[in-house]
Amino acid sequence: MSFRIIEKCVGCTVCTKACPVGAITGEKKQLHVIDASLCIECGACGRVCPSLAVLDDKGVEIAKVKKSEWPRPVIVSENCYACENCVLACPADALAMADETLPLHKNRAILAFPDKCVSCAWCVTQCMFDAISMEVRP
Amino acid sequence: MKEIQGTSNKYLDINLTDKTWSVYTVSMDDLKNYIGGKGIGLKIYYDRLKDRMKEVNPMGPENLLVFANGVFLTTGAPCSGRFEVITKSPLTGFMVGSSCGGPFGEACKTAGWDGVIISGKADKPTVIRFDDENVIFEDAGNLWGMNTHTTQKELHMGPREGAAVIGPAGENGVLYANVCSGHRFAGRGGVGAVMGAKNLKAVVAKGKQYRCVPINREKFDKAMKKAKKHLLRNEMIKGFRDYGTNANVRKGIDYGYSPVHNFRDRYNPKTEATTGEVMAQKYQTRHSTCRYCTVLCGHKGHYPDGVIRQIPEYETNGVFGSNIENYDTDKIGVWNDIMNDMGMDTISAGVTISWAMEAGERGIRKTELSFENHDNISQVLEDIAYKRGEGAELALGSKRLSEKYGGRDYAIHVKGLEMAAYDPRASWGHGLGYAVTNKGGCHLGSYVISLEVLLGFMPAKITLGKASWVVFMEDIFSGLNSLQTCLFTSMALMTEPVIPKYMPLLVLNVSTVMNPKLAQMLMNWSVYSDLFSAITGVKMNQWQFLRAGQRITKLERYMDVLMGMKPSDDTLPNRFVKETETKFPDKSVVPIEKMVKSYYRARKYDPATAGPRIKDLQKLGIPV
Repeated sequence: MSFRIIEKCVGCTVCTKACPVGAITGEKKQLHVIDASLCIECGACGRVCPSLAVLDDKGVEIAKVKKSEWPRPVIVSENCYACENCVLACPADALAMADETLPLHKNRAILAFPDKCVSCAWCVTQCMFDAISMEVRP
Repeated sequence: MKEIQGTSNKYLDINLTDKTWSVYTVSMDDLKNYIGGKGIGLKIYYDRLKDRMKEVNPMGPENLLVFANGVFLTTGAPCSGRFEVITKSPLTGFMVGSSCGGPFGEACKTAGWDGVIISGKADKPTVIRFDDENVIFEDAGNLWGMNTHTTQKELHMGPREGAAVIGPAGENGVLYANVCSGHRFAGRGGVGAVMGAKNLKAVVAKGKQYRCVPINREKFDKAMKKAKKHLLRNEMIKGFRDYGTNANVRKGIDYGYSPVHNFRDRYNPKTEATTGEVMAQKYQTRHSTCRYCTVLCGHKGHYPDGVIRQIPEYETNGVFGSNIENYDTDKIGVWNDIMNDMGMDTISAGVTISWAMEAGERGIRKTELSFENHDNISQVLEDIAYKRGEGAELALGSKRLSEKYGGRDYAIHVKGLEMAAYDPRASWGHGLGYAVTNKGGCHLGSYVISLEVLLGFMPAKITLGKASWVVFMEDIFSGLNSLQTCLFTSMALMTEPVIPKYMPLLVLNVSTVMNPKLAQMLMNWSVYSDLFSAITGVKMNQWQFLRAGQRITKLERYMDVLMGMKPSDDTLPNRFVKETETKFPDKSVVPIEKMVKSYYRARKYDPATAGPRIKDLQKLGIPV
């Protein structure tokens, strides 16, 4: 079963803005719908939903979480080999390489756009150098 | 996301002729005996077509095209973002397995499929899209005719999807057309031509529906810790990480394996302009790798025209550099882009062109190509892809051209597959590898040059012990191509354990050739079998892994013999066997006849057929 929105939805449209892949559609004040074929199951829609109207793939209600409390990638620069695979994997374009003018060995991946991050952790699974962990940072 | 414990053992079995599909389940016996990836792909092909191997027309609907993933993929195992494409090659007429590090494999695996078997032929250009439950056959429409990268763009894929596509070369039946996924390629043997002959423009998988989880997490983590440690500290891997595979150019100059003037000369000082070190500096290179890579040999760079391009691999750099007397790497970068867009193998294209240049120089065939002028190469490459003018002939490869016009002595291929950019006169074991590798002139059948020259573990120009090493490395590589993981990992994982790492080089040089079996026993490849066991739950030690590799190699060889391979196919072009005078001081040639005989003995092959005996196949559990 994929992520879905239930009748509690009030059609506030907050989730459509939070979804990084445009998987949610719906008119204002109408029940919204997640297109399962597009959904990447990051859960961002549920974490911003004021009505607790999003269920995950196991049918469990996703709790609302303040954006400042979302886990985000923390990249240990010393471990990063600048392979760029995390940057390519990020579905929200939140990661980037630090500075293209730096020599290869000195460059590294950074969380360039924290606001775009949806806490999917795809970057963590792509990293072969144990350089990334998901953490809540103030 | 749903979880798969180990691997799904499920293949999507698609018939393009009637647009139907079913599920093929791999047995646990086959998984243990053939490991996955290449091994399983070959076994599926053999099971279905063993009674008519010779009759299968590579470009006909009866040929199977198998995309095969390994058990490593998406578990987080090192350098595992790979898949293998297996089919009967239109270039050689024998089996070919070509490995690719693009995103299709990951998407396919996380859609719940260990691979895709494609049979039949679509009545018109088609795109296949699939997820875990459905297969959709779409009209390829405007995509037909588009290059590989535009095709992928126009498929409008989401972040969960990955595609394997062909370009114009595959559509037009260039015999060395390849398959593209992302910016990586299943390059060799014409797998793209087979896809084109099936009217199949693209296969798109929608993944991220499943996560593959090792059955024994503790064992997996322990093996991974060791693997990462060895991969990160190994000096040869560091060289690849810094300079890409072009790190090999420097040693080619020093040891005389550079391909120069259609492999005539072995040396030209101008090759200095094409080293990995020079290019890293010149293009301010960046990593541009396969998924889940720890080696990081793939690089991209900033070219003077403002374009960021993939840096050509060593083999492309060699055959479009010194081998055609071109020392301008900017041009090689542009030509590499053209070939990647057209979807054709750079090695076969380059070596066919260098043959045409020499044939023209010797006056046996009229051509616009010459070693002195490279202005027309871009045009010629496009002409090959669209089979226009001279390109129509060049699309056939060097074997067919030399059979038509003469010049076989300097047609640099084995079994019809053009050889990569290592002159075997500098590395005899590598030469034997070229001659006997099932696929044809592939440098990665056993890659013994890594032991002879790159690592310096054994004398390069003696025959002693080499047959044993080719056998050993072929079996290891068959295993690795089945897991699947990058072959380069073996350079670290097999040589970093204590004994090979700390043994003095002199002792290594003596023991590797005087007693190769003992030296092989002192290497350690248990990390591969440990990871396989941890993921699948199937017990396997390193010796069983090696035996599985042997089984895969011999099955492939037996299939090739059924397809018509003869002992006379296991040889090298005369250039490497007879021509002693080059521009490199050393005058060695490869005593290939003697070495092949030793190889047959070591393999227990029947010299009359060049293949394994029935009893040997039965002993290995291969059904005959």
